[in-house]
Amino acid sequence: MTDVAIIANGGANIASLRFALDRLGASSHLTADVDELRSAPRVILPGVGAAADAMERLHSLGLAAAIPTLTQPVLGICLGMQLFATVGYEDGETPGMGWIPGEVRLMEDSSVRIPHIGWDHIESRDDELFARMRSNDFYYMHSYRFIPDDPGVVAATTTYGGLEIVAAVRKDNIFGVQFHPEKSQGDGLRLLRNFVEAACCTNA
Amino acid sequence: MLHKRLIPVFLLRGDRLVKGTRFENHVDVGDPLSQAMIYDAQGADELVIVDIDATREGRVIPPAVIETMIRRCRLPIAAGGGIRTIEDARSVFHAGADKVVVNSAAAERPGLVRELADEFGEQSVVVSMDVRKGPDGRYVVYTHSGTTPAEGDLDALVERMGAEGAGEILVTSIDHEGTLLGFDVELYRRLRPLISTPMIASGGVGTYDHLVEVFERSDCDACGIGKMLFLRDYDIVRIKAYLHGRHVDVRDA
Repeated sequence: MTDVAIIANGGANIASLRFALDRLGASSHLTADVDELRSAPRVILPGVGAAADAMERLHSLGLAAAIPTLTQPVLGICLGMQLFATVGYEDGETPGMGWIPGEVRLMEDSSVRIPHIGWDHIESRDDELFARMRSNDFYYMHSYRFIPDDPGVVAATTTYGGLEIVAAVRKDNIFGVQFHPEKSQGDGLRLLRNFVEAACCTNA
Repeated sequence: MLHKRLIPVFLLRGDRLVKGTRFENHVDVGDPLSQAMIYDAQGADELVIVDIDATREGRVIPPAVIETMIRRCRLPIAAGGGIRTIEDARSVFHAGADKVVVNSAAAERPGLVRELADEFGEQSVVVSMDVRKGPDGRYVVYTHSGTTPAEGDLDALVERMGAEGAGEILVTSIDHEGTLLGFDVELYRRLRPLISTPMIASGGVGTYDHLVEVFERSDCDACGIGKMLFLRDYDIVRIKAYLHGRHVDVRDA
């Protein structure tokens, strides 16, 4: 049974994520300990709420510097993915972990409703992360989006009005999704399973 | 593109779900966990659960009911009932809810919406408003489960909620609720231009065509469904199949 370490960054409610992983037959535990994170087969960084608060917590836990040194598969969910960026512009400027260069900006498009809330369709560029999907629809709840410097890291996109939102990223051992797989019924569970079973990368 | 959403609406009384007509004469319609699992399995897009006695009894929706649903369901859950402060909302989020639903407290003090949006993110805050149409044709907002008329003009209140950072607005027509006679489509057509957030229409749906009509004519983003699911022989699978046939973009069940 694969064990997943979920980064305890306050803020985010992780109950649904833990129950989803449990349903997949993966064990999980919450931790902020760097050594535990280094040795965990998989790591997930969840996140809801404000980027500034989340980064402050990660810094105070010594994790902002440690997370980018991890070599096993790491999944950032929603705000968790956005914290991988170089900088976010939510409340002024908040430096992220700079793990995937890029920025996080407010979505602006007068032809669609912001926040972007509900089930939306993704176009996948990654057959491993999105293997075995039934409908490729996932649940979004966000006002900000991640714009990576290198388009090569984009693993999936969602078209929303005139915006092509980055739905997922993948770079080496780093995975990120803007939507909430733990809230996306069958396909969400399948995505989490694909992450848990990812064949790449191990702990160094 | 973003799909339209179908959202079963759960009204919690004690530890049971109930359904009424125009906010009265409630009957038991099952236990929250079983019903949540049924609609999750059928491919509902989201669930809303509101404790309809919480505000009047000066308390908040109990976390335990939310926790049991979160344990077994893999879809978004918005929960409300008696939320008046940031700490009330925090207890609901800690129980596992993805969004909080605020009603009476927001109508009485719209600044609460801004406080919740700043603390938890706009996308996590649903402002719910229950309205009745008066004899003069004006809509009046009612709080405390339809018992207490709120001050102010509906249009102005809706605009205010948008300005205060509501992530979504859920508007229930008390006059239509539980009648199975259809939505108050004119209400949603009138409100649609006043707020740029997603809007959830609720109250009165009884047939497939009621759903088609409200989506086509009011451009609302989601519909709350109650009695039609709980006390009639409809299910999400067949509703979505019908809507697809009528070219309404809902996610596959």
